[in-house]
Amino acid sequence: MIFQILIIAWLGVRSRLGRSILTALSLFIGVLAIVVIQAGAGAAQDAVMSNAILTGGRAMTLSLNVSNGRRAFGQADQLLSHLNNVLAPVKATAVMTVDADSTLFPGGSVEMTLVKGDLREIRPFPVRRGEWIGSGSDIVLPVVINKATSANFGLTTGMTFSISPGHTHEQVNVRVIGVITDGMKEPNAYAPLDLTQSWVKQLAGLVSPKILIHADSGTSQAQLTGLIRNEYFRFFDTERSPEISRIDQADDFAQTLGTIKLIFSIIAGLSLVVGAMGILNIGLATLRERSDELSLHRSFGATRLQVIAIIVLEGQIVALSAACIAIVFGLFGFPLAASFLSQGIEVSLQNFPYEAAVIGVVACCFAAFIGSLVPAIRAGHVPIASIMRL
Amino acid sequence: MLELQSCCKSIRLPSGDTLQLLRDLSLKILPGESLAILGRSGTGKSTLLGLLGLLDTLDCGSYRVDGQETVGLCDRALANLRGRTFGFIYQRFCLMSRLSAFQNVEAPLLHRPGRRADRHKAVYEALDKVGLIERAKHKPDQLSGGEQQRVAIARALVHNPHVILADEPTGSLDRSTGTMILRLLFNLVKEAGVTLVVVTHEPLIAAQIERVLELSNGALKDGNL
Ligand SMILES: Nc1ncnc2c1ncn2[C@@H]1O[C@H](COP(=O)(O)OP(=O)(O)OP(=O)(O)O)[C@@H](O)[C@H]1O
Ligand SMILES: [Mg+2]
Repeated sequence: MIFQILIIAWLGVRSRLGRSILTALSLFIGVLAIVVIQAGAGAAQDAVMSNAILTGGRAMTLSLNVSNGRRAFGQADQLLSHLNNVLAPVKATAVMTVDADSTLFPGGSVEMTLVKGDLREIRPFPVRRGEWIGSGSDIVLPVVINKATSANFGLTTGMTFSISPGHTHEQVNVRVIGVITDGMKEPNAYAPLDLTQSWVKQLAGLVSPKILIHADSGTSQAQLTGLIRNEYFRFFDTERSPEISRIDQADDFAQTLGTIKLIFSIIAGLSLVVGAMGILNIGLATLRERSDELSLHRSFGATRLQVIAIIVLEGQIVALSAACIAIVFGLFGFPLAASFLSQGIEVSLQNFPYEAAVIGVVACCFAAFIGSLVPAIRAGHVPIASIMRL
Repeated sequence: MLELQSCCKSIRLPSGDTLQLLRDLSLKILPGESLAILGRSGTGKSTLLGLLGLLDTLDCGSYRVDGQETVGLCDRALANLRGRTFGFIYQRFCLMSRLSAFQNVEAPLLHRPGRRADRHKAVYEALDKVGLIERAKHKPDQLSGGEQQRVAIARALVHNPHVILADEPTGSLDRSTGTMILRLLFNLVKEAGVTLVVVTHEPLIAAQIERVLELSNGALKDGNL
């Protein structure tokens, strides 16, 4: 019986193909909006988010500036291993970095970062070529360069040359062991702090070492700050408060992108509401014309409920077709939209948002249901006897 | 068998007044009987036919269809009985303009269980009986008035109803076409052995039918007198 009702509904849709297509259009746009916008926003979010993580560190990364006295490096070094011990229970990682700005590479000036500890725990650089700095003990200093350095100066893994570190009068032989993406547009390079002791000595007093601490979710900023401050005071026996600041932008970005996504979702929702109103409008406008046909069906033995089902099913057929076509469009349009929205940021965007697609279909059918319900119930109450007086 | 007993029906006019169409009307129609209802325009013939066909409900009185009381039945039971018992033919054909002749005739069958193949066979048989098999794919606006009414007759008969209710079946046709349609209808009704109730303005039609009643002032009286 349901199957026959379906046939009648299908005949109804097919016999008003033009109108059905027009109705489908707004629903189509609604679903496409949900899928593409959700996909695009998701992709953009991933892209911007991972860029933010590369430059600022993963969520909940703090930076502790150790004052740049003569003994700063030694103290920072000790504090680092102390922190790593005491932070182990909260699964936090501490890493020390020293910025050696304007290091002269063959080709131009590079921002050099000397690293102790695994910086990639905090800033998860994808390695493009070669490898990340380990703890080699070659006479030649291993360095890792970012893509800008590689591209601007034509440097790549395996090359050996000498550089002149910023603020020093040294010449250091280096070999490029890896190329990474670090989210920076400027030329950058990374080298192990342990193997650069001679220039670190010269940098002392000029540059202050930084300790980056990252805690996995579960530790709040206040908790972590308090913990570090306590250890700092205990360690240095000083009155001066340390400079501790949060450097990751994860929260900011998540919030902004969340808002953007919300706005886009509202737009998608609105177009579905428009679609529902379209079905409602057409349903009510054509009720007069349809009521004769529906009265006929009732004279053939259709119940009130079956007449209601016919109208609702017609709406569902239109909605489902619209949604399916929209998803096919979305599948093809998604890579385009993704590459457009995430221009210049290199993150893989392979995943089509199937969740959004399912939500789109359900929302579309729901919109059509709401839109067809009023005409359907009205149609169920059309006096059939009026067909005698047509 | 259809049995109307002391039924009344009034219509609420837009002005707020009520118009009493049928007053204490009783009517018994035996299986296989043919009945013509005459009457001036506006006396309530169509209304009566609608009541007989369960398209409308009584204000008072009782109505039995094949022994079953219909007053107070739920929508589902009424729809069931209506679809099983009656086939309708209207003055203006009332075909679904967007569907082909075939689909129009198939429509009543879609409201009862049955396989597609059986359905199609029944549709072709019905179209064959009215001589329109080669017009099966045509839409109503591609058919003449007489042809449209023949499609409507096929549609009224396709599901083997016990009773055919025809409201001025020739009212929209010229005389000769009308005569042809009536002859076809009478033949098919006789062949199938079904009851026929036909409403008409034309005394000429009535001449071919054994029992004729006239509706006036809300009551039926013998029209042969
Ligand atoms: N739904 C309605 N609203 C208002 N008036 C109605 C309604 N239904 C019927 N009437 C009135 O009831 C009267 C009888 O209508 P009905 O259609 O039964 O007459 P009829 O005998 O079939 O007339 P005709 O021979 O012209 O077809 C008419 O005056 C009509 O205007
Ligand atoms: Mg009438």
